This record gives sequence, structure tokens and C-alpha cells, in this order.
Amino acid sequence: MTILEIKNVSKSFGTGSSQTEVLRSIDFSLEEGEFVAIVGFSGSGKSTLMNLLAGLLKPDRGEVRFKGKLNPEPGPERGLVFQNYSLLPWLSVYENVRLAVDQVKADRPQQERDQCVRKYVEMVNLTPALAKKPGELSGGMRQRVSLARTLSMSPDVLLLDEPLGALDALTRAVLQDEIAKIWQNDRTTVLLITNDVDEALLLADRIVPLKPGPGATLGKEFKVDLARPRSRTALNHDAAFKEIRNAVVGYLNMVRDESREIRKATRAKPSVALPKLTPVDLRVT
Amino acid sequence: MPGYIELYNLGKTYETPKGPAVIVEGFNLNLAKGEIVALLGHSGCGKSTVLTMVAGLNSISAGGVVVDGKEIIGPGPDRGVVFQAPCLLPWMTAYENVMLGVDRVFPHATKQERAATVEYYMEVVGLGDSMHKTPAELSLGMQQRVGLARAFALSPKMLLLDEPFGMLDSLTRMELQEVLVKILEQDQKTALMVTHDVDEALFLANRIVMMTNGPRARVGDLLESPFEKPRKRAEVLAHPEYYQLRERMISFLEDQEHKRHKPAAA
Repeated sequence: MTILEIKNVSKSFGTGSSQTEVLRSIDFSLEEGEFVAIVGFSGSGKSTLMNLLAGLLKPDRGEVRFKGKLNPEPGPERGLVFQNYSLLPWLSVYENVRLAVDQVKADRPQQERDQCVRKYVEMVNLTPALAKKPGELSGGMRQRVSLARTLSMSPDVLLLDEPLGALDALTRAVLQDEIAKIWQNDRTTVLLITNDVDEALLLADRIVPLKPGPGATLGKEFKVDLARPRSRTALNHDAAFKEIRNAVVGYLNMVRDESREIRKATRAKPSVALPKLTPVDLRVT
Repeated sequence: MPGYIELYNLGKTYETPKGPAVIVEGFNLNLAKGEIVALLGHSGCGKSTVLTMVAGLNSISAGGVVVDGKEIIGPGPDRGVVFQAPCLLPWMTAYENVMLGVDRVFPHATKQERAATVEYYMEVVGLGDSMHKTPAELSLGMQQRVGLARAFALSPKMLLLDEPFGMLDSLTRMELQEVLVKILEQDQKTALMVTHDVDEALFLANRIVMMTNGPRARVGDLLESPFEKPRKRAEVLAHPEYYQLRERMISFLEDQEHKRHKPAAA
């Protein structure tokens, strides 16, 4: 069943001559229980697309449907995780998550809400840090809080907007494994936006490239038929993995080069010749 | 056999209140002219320490570094450095940032020759249209392109690259790797680079030195990269050995990571 769908959506920012079309005629649908990754270049309009899907922006043209409902307001059934964590700095880990639970599950008894907070904080392995404030946590830990907060609202769709983009490679790998594990257990519908092909290959069922803007459109889609759980090392001798990875990387580089062709043509070869010069030795002896 | 660049028994020790802390010890590496070597390891393993010692930015505790037959003492324009952050002067245009070093290193050249040198490298890195912009007007990827132009314009004997694309997103990183490989091949430069990105190391380097975790970091494994030059991304990825090598490197890094969490039981 299609849970989230956009049809022929365009979005521009600015007015008059300074108007820029960010997204042009985007069609996309997300099926229930699916994990889809949209992979795109920086500045191509990935976050605009996510905000449209979350209901934080309205499209100029076209429609967004969530469970059949046209252009719905943002709500907890579409849980969003941002790259910058967006935690309240004066609240502890527990209180940050509790705030969301109190909003969404206001009709449930105190004790149940308390258990709900603890369950999701435990799921992201942060129980020892329950009483800590965001300022006392590393980037990876903060993103875990953000993830726990979103999961605690039991959303129908999880929207992850470059959630690991600000983290170092090692922490990113650890969190990718945790996201994979959590998804394996509850199979929520997930849409992940990322610029990392390997992250997409490790997590998603389907990869949809977003071509470089302005006027970005979605590119050719790739199915990721790889058995789960996926291991970073073992994948390297999986023929299907190699094939998909090379195809996705090749496709992304191709659309990038196409989009920059005009600018490239003007400087295919340097217009000036490099003079033959010998540098002086500036070493202090 | 003496190399074009020699790192001989290189060591770094810091004095601490608890006694000396040995970060790097007995590190040996020879680079042939035109060779590109990548140092791969986790953060904190000492790979940047090796690089900054070769750059002359960090004092050498033991051993030495020889560049083209001369032992180094301190930093110099014979070794161009590209840092992880672009480190541009914000009040100067991209062009002026590159010219700053060019003026110093080519004082005997004419004004036109120096201008041509700067323009040439600005165009090579793809900034021909943006060279008169200030860093604030450029994206991070473009700023790092200026960093590359600045280093290459000095016509250094070797390039030292300290996680040059570590701050960029993975797609921009691929684009800049292609720019870098193009200039390195064109100018036939010798380079030592530090990275923790296995794909970057495989794509750019001729040899990859995998370092164990510090303290007392040493060479854990050594890998020759079999890909032909000029390097094209699609050809490198399609090479039958690519994913074998990639797996070997990822396994090495994962092993090191496990060792770090479980300090030696012995």
C-alpha cells in the first residue's frame, strides 16, 4: 500500500528575476514497510523535498498525499530526524524524549509514558546518559537522542534528513548498524535522504537519485536486492553489491558531469599556459 | 635504495607529567618520484603526526626526513600542504590567496608570469569563473579547490594532504578526488596523504600504508594499488581486484577498532 506520495511537485524560492526553481515535476511514492534512500548532491534540493514530504513546506504545483489525504499539515505520524539534532539544550535526554511523548500520547497514563521514554532511550543504547543534557553529549549521542525522540512518537513513516551527515566516519558506521537493526525489528516505513552511496546500499531496499539542481528531478531508480543483515566487509565479495554500487556511482557521476557541462566547456583546457618557473628555496638554515 | 622522499626511523615522543608518551616510533617509508602514498588509519593513530613532521610543522623527536637529497629543517615551500579545513584568508579573494605564496616563491619572475601561474591553477581546479570571489562566497568544496590550487601553484617537490576532503560530503568528495588525481598525474607530483576513506585511498594512491592504533603506531599492512593511470573512476571500480582490496582495508580498520575497545588481554 502506498503510504506517502507526491505527484508532479515543483517548488521555487524567491520572487521575480531572483526566483530559483529548486524542484521540478517530482513524482515519488513510498510503500508501506519500505526503506527508500534518496541520494543527491549538496544543494540539489534534498531538504526541500523532505520538508515537502513532512508538510513543513507547501508545493507550488502538484500534490502531496499521506495515506490518501491531500497536502496534510505536519504531524507526529511523519517523524522527522534532522541533521542538526534539534534538541532542547536545557532539557536532559529523558526530558527531550518525554516532551515528544507527552505531546503525542497525552491520553496515556503517566507510567506508560515514562516506560515509553525509557524503552526508546534503551533502544538507542543511551540509558546511562538519561539525565545528561545535550551539551554533555557527543554528536553521535545527540543524534541517538533525536532518533529516540522520533521513534517514541510511533510514527507511520520515519523521515531521516541526512541524519548522519555531521558525524565522523566511525560514528556514522556504528549508527548505520543501529538504524539497520532497529528497522529489522519493527519494519517502519523509512525515507532516508543522504549523499552517501554506501549508507544507502547498506540500509535501503531502493535507491532514488536526485539530480543536481536547479530544477532538480529524480533520476533512474535502483533496486537493492541484498540479503539482510548486510555486513560492510562481506558485501565486498557479493557480486550483486559490486554491480549495484558501480552502477549507482557511475550514474551519479554521469548526471553530475551532464549538469556541469556548460561550465566545464568554457574551461576544458586552461586558457593560459603555465610559465616555466623555478621556485626559490625559502628554507631557513 | 634511497628514495626521492625518505622517512627514516621517524619518531615522535611527547613529554608528559606521567613520563614520555611515544606516539610514533621507527616509522620508515620511501617514496619514489611521482609516487602517491596514502596513510590509512583511525583518528588518533598518529598518521597526521607523521604528516605534520614531514611538513616541518611538528618537531621530529627521532630519525629524519630527506626530500630530494636534503634533510628537512622546518617547513618550506618545497612541500605543499593541503589541510582538512580550507584555511584561506577570508579578506582576500581566491586569486589573492593563491598569489600570496606565488609572490614569495617566484620573486624573480615577472608580474605576468606570476599572474599566469595563478590563473592556470585556478582554471585547472575548475574555478576559472570564480577566482575573484572571497571564501565566504564559495561553497566548502570550492574553497578546498582553492586550497589545492594554492599548494600546486608553488611548484612543490611533494604534496602533503591531511584528510583533504574529510569535511566534504561524499559526492563532492568524489568530484574533488577526480580534480586532485588529474593535477597529480599532469604535474607528476609525489604525494603523501592521510585519509580514513578506503575508496579515496584506493582511487588516488599507488601504495597504501595501513597504520595500527597508537601509541607506538607502526605500519600494520601495506598494499599496492594495481590500477592503471590515468585513473578513471569507472575503470578503477570495475577492476577485478577493487572490491578484494576494499574488503581487506575495511577488515583491517574494523580489527583495529575492536582492539581499541578491548585493550590487549595479554
